[in-house]
Amino acid sequence: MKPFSYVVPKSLDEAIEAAAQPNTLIKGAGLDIVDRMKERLQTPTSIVNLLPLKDELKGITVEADGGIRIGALTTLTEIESHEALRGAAFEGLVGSAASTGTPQVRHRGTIAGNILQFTRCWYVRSEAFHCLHGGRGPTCLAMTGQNRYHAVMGWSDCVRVHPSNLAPPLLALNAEYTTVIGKETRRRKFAELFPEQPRAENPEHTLDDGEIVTAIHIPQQSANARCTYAESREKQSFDWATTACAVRIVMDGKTIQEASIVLGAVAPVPMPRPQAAAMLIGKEPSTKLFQRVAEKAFQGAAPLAHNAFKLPIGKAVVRDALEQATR
Amino acid sequence: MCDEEWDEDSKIDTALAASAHTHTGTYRTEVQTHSSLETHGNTCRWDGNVLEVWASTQATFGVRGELASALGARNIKVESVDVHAEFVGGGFGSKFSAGIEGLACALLAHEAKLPVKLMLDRHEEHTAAGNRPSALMQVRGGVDANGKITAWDWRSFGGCGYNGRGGAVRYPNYYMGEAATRRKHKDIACDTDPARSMRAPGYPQGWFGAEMFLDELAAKAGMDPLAFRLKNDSEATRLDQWQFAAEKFGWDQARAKQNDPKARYVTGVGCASARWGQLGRHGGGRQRYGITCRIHPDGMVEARNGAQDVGTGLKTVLQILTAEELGIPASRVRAMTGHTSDPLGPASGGSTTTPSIAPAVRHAAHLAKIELVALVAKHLGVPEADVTCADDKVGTKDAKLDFVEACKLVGQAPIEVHGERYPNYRDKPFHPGVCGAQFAEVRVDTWTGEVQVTRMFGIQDCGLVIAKKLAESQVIGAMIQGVSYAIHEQRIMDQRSGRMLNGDFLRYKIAGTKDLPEIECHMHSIANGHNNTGAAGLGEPPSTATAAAIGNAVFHAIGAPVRHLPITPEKVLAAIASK
Repeated sequence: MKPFSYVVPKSLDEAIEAAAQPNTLIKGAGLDIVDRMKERLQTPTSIVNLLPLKDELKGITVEADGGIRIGALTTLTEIESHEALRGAAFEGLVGSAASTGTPQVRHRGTIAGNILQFTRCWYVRSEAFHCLHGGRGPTCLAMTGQNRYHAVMGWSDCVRVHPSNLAPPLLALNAEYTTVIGKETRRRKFAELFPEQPRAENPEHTLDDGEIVTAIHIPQQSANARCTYAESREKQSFDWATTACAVRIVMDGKTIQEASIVLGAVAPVPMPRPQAAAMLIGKEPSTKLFQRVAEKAFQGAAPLAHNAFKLPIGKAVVRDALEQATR
Repeated sequence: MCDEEWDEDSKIDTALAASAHTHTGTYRTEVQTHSSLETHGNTCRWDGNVLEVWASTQATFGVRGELASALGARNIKVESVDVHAEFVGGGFGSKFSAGIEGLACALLAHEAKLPVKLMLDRHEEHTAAGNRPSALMQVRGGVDANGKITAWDWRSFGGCGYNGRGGAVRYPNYYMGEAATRRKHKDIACDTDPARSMRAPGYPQGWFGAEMFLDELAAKAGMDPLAFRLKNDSEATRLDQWQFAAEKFGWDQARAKQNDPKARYVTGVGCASARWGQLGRHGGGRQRYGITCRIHPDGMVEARNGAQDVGTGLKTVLQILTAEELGIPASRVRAMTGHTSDPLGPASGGSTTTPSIAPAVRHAAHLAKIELVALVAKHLGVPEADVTCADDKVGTKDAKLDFVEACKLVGQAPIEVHGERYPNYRDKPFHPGVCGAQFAEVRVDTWTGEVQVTRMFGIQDCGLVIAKKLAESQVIGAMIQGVSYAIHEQRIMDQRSGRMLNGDFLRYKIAGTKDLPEIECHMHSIANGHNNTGAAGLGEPPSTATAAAIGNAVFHAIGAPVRHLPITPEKVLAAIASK
């Protein structure tokens, strides 16, 4: 590991200034940075530790407009257990937080860290392999190599998957995020956090260098909104999903009035599936309908040599989330 | 190669032709890495020509000899090598050798004239420290109208590393009775890290293939898998175990339970046998294993052996047996293991450490007792033959001293004796090895193919149990490792570069707490009469059965066999789809 300077800011302004320096990494919980540095994937000149800025960047509050603000450094454990997130509308967010990592990881890991995760692709993350996404090689090695954990849709020249499990429910909930950079504060739709056409050259997110996420905002949810989350995985303790799905459903009596479906772990970015969700509008929930919707959600999927299993499993996960949401 | 026709064999072909039911199956297992939490490595320090090594090893004395000769061969003057391994963070068969990393460490320390610590990192541990090789097993077999096995034709292939060795597969040979049998094996070299012995080398693979084949054959014969085993198992100990364990586990009810064909979650149960045959040895080459036992004037008793404790609780074994022989609480005994300055002990392989050392512990304590008894008899003026050591007291019925008081008679220097391991009492043991049986229950999500092992019961013989907690820990530990092997673990290679892609603890998946079932085990203690403690090996026996029992439970749950470990979601879905 190469030496680096470690910046412990006393205020957000100090953090913003430090983050603007060249070749600087911004650290939340720091659960993954050392691993990446040991593999020499990143060799920062300095690291800015945001954790001392708990007062500004941590905590869950209900705002005047009924929306919920989640500070960037709020831990997954806090999300799991917070009063304000008790309702049916937040089941999916709370559930995805609760299924993350281990109790230790959830106790330490932050919401911003979760949604800004670096890919887990075993080619990208290894010093020994030189691939396109890491900017160290000419091609995506996973595309023609071992790709059981890789993308089945939405990929072009790189088949990594987006590893965040909190991103799908946040997208389904139509969340927004606030960032600061220099003197500027920006608030945008959550979808803008991810590249529209994710290519190898894009990072996992669209943040500029030195831009710091300060909060996530969830708009007020109607009383009969329900958001659920389901995922498939290969083990129950400490694993990343092989496929994931968050849905948000608003019922009007017996029929579905609003619906959104977002897939996770199947593409380089979390994948909203608006066409599949549209099939639900005005319909009564049924197994048959959910099966058709799940098919639609994976329509056009292009699995690779080793991950075709994600299609039937992913469809089951969509059904699972839909059934939970309409139970 | 596995697509080849079976070679003709008149005995087998005749038996198969005469069978009421026959079956053929191909079974596969993947490479499992040792994944020791403490990686391979050492700390080395030179003092003149004396080398001191703190090693993560399963063979303190082996490392001593290996380093001494390797350094000697490089013309480095070595007066002596002292190896220390008081505690070892995992040794499942890959830590017998000092290894290249050990020699490198000693040489670096020699060059640097400073202590050097050199441990493999996690990726190196996965890729350069050996593994349980993969296996491909093919079986043909038949049964007669009574459910007796008539033919057993086995051929297997070991997926080895670059040296093409170590892939041999064993199978349970106690089911075949008078059946016509044949076995063939071939190791296949591949330019990867070679195999190293791993907790019952060749057994979990072969037991998975064979025990699963038995269930499929029983299904063809329309028999309950347990009834089928009771009919064919020739080992008396296990026949008792099957019945005891089946009752404890609730086999009949669980097996009879019907899954709703429309249900998302289905359950199933399966069973498999366990077998191992190590009773321990008396020594290495000319020299016998030994124990130094000291009774100190302050009442403290010391028991020492130079072998390592790889986590089985060897020190506790030393304490318990010494205390038992001297009639004192175990808290009075200070046990020490893992320093080559102490008497010779075995390498921890083949489940031999406890049965090899335990008899010497009793022998040493007995010799020390004789000396103490002599002092006490003289002091009390009673015949030595009347003096006993019991309840923390030494003396006769009428005149006795507290043990601590008795020890004051020792004087300034402690009583110091050397006990040794005698050969096993019989050449042809009446208890040829240890038996076990395991039962598993699984819940399968038929939508996603995820398998959760929900419940396991294991019964295990290991001779006489010395410490129940330690014994159960070996059995439960083996079952945990078996769950992980059955459901999760596999080495994934990049075929272009030949590098392991999942050489970490993220993608090399090991069962965590939430993946584990409720595990119950029952120690079937049998006095085997081979040595003065009745101990037999235990580390490996229970690890033979677990994956096989789980495989059979999955077969029962979904009605189709998954013949390839690990039983991952996609294989489960493929098996369901193939029905």
